[in-house]
Amino acid sequence: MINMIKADFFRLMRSKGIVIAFVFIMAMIATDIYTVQPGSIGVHVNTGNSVENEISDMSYEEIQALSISEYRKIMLETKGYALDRAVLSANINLYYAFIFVAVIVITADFSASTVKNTLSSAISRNKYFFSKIAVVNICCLGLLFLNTYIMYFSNLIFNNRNLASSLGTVTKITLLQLPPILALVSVLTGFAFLLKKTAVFNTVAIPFIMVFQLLLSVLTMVFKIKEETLYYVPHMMFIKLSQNPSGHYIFYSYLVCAAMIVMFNLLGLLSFKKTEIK
Amino acid sequence: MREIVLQTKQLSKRYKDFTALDSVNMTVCREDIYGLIGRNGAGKTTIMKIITGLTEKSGGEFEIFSKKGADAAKEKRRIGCLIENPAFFENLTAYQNLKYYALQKGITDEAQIDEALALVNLTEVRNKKFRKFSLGMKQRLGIALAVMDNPDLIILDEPINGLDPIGISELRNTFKKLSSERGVTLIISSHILSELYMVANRFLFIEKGRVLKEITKEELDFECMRCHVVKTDDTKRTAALLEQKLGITNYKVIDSRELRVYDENVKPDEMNRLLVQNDVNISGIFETGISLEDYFKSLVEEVRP
Repeated sequence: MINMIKADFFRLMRSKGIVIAFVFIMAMIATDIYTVQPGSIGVHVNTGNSVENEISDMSYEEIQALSISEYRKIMLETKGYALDRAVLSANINLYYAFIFVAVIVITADFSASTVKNTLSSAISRNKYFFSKIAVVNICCLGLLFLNTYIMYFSNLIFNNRNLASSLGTVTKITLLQLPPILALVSVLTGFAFLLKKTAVFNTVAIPFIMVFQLLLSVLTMVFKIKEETLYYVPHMMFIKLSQNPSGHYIFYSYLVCAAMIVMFNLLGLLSFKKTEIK
Repeated sequence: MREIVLQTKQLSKRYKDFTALDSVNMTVCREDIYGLIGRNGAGKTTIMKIITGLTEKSGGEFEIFSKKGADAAKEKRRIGCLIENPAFFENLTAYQNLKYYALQKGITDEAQIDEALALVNLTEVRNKKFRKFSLGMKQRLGIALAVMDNPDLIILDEPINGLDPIGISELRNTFKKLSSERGVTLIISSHILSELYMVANRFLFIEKGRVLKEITKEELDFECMRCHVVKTDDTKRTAALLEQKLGITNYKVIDSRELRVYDENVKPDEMNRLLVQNDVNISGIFETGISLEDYFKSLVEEVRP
């Protein structure tokens, strides 16, 4: 299994996909840092730290009419607003960077049929599955920490110091967010082993979060779901876990994450073990 | 008795209503070059996929290196294979692709990669990306992967697809060398029966998932009667001359006027020249017997409902 992991890293280092994932994250950070608000790229996340909360003496129409540079100027003068914490609360958007990793590590192997070279002589299906899961998780966690610290130091350098938290705070938030990150990665690895081919995987994985949020809002309206229940869906977990969560919330949100990790990995493993390799 | 490398017993594979393999029994011994002959969809690739664990069997059993079930799966490390089309990463070079699999298999000696590339004449293009390879080069890289880890059993599905005649000839010699020098066992499927005939020593004819016949090359030669017939009035002297001067030992004296030579490398003009020079009266030298294709057709006809 260690050999398999080594081999995958050898290939990853020669792949453009990992560079694209990194560039995607850098683009997200750059826009977040410049616009002084999170979620400029990806799924819109209401973190409770938007300009509307800060500039209470301006009307909605006036805020809408602001140019990005005017908006930035106002935000830089805002006190008590931690941009880094706000950006971390929108970490659901890392899901899109993780798609690149799942593609390079898992679906590319199925799409090119290179998986048969591995399974026919070198390694069992279980070992193959778990080593791929390990590689994807290591890469995604690496991207998560890169995202955190590049964003943190960029904010310190390019924005006003009073928009920054302490390094300890962002590290703590990032560590608290590990279970939902692993749950998101499990969603992707589960889909990757279930759908196998890159094109099919992309068709399902890319709109998944947006469709999921849409469905959730429809279901919330139809079945009058309690607001507290919604706190346990992944994108809300990122927000809640970045805002001094209670021990009770951490426990139950981690329980949901554990269930997601088990469910999606099992889905992927069972599907993969039954598959005929072409 | 030779060591049995692979043995299947009543091996079957079903896909819903379709039977891809129906109670296949086959035995492959050490150093065999075992030819799988069958039409498209006959079940050749399915046999290879079951043995290598790419698909599950529906019934029956098989033993690899005398191991069954989970123990057999552990022996996969001793198998090298090329099944269906050669598949590699397009963005990596030939060397990088082999390095990737070498790392997976825990091969630390990079000389093994160079050796495998040299064996299939790809040393000069080792740094060329796989996407720029021709079909023949891709095929050769697939074979390089199969032999890289010095396996005991090599399974090759249509390995000569896309190769030019020189490439085919070189590969044929490579297969023979692997078998005779390294004691490697090879299972090779091919549509080009004449090519398979030139390299294999045992054959399995398969049609619609059913084994038509498992046969040695000697038995096949006998059944096809593929030979050179020498018509002469002195078979005793002819036999002695062929043995002493041309080193031909694979012959049979049919009667006082006919001798049959089964040696595949025999050249009729050379025999003719030798016998004439030694004043042996020859009334004719000709090739006889049905071709491998015709033999296969006759087998298929026998089972056709």
